[in-house]
Amino acid sequence: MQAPGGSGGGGRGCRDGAEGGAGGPGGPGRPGAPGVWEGAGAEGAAAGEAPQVEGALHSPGRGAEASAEGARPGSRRRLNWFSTSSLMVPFLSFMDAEIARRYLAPGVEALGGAVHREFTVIGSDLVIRLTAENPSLLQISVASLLNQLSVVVQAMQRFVPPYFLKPQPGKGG
Amino acid sequence: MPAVLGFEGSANKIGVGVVRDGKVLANPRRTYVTPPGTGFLPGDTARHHRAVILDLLREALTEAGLTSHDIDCIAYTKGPGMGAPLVSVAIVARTVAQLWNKPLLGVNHCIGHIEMGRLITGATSPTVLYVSGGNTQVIAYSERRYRIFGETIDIAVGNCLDRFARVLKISNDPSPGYNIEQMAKRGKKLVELPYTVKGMDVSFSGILSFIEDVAQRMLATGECTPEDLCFSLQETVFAMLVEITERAMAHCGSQEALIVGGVGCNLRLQEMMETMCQERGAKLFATDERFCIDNGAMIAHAGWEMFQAGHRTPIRDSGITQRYRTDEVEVTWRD
Repeated sequence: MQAPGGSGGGGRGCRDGAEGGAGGPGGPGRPGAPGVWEGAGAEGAAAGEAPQVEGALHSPGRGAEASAEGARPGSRRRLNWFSTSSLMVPFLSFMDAEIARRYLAPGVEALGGAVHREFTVIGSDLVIRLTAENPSLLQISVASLLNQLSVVVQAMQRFVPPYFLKPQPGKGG
Repeated sequence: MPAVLGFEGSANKIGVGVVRDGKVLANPRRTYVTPPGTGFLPGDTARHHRAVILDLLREALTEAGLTSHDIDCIAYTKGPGMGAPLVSVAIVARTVAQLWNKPLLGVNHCIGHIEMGRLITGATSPTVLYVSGGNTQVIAYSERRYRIFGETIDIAVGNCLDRFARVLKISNDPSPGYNIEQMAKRGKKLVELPYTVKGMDVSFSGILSFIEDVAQRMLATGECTPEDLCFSLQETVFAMLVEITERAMAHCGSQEALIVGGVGCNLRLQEMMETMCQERGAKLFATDERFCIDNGAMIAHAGWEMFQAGHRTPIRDSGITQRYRTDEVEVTWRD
């Protein structure tokens, strides 16, 4: 992943729930560096912008539930809305992704527990799933996560050079 | 001879320090300074810290002449403080600890100040006046805890001074408190301000509200100058602090007083505390701006003490706590 301020780039991502996915600054970056894949809904978003969770109010996705209580005519229905977003961050190897997962995952509860984060390593990809009570919280938490990810990757790049300077066949590294 | 690397970033100062066996090997620091009339916000402060922390880490290792292999433990400020800045520093500490395969220690910021003050001054068991932009406490050690004898019931004394500085649009460079101190030296008139001591505790929100309310009027009518207001505010709030410290010393029978925290750099506060200590036959200890103001070495040294005593912070517990009380920590490294 490039340091903040690097050029943006498109890519694929996996999204659940709210439209608009999540993207963030940086693209695949230079050879050998991990990249951030933007959610498809963020295509066209300028690099460095906070991801726009569009459509969340219109399409609540799987997380929406309608309470059965108060469903009588004239009464107010209570809906529990959840906004979710996923990021897939490719690394060079399973070990790199696992290390990043351990750095990011533990002990940091965002926004008083109103945001839930799940970290999974699939192959050499770190998949991060965020679930929030509303789109605004989701937006804040995605931006916060990307900032943390940026710092973690920069620390890995600066203090463990062999991870990112290994010559890669065909990549001119 | 373990060497501990410490990260501090609970407010607008970010520092990385290296301490080995009570010796400070490195202590670089950066301060996030905002324009006059404004304060520092969590998000902006965290952004500043993220931008400089890795450079500071490299600088600390170079200054100490050490590599990652020479470091035995990574310490970081677990709290109290501002959430976003704390998180941005904790992330790096956690990352580095895992990259280098070193144990991690979450340190209480207040205890960092106390332990560094004891190390630098040689005070053995003082009554501690901890005064900064975020904290105001009178603390004494008893039975494995740093007990809080008195504290502010609302805002910290440094916060009171900083917010008053905004009213007068005093520069934040190098710090609003320092600039207030310099202006106060030129003050000639003592303006009567609310003096609020409640037993062992103090309150500063009332004096701040009052002075914010009257400052513009008094300056406009020429009743006083900005220097007079700075002087009057300092005299009033510092007298309150001296009173509660003396009360704690009398309660404990203490013959030593130690001032720590950023406001502890203020020479007028030290002078007033010295007068009180002399009257009691006690001794005053204070440090200079290198260690009074938030710095990485104080976290490294507190971490060193904790490391020697066998403390460790598991990775799953390596978060931050914005409200982390001084007396929550079991001080197992002291008798």
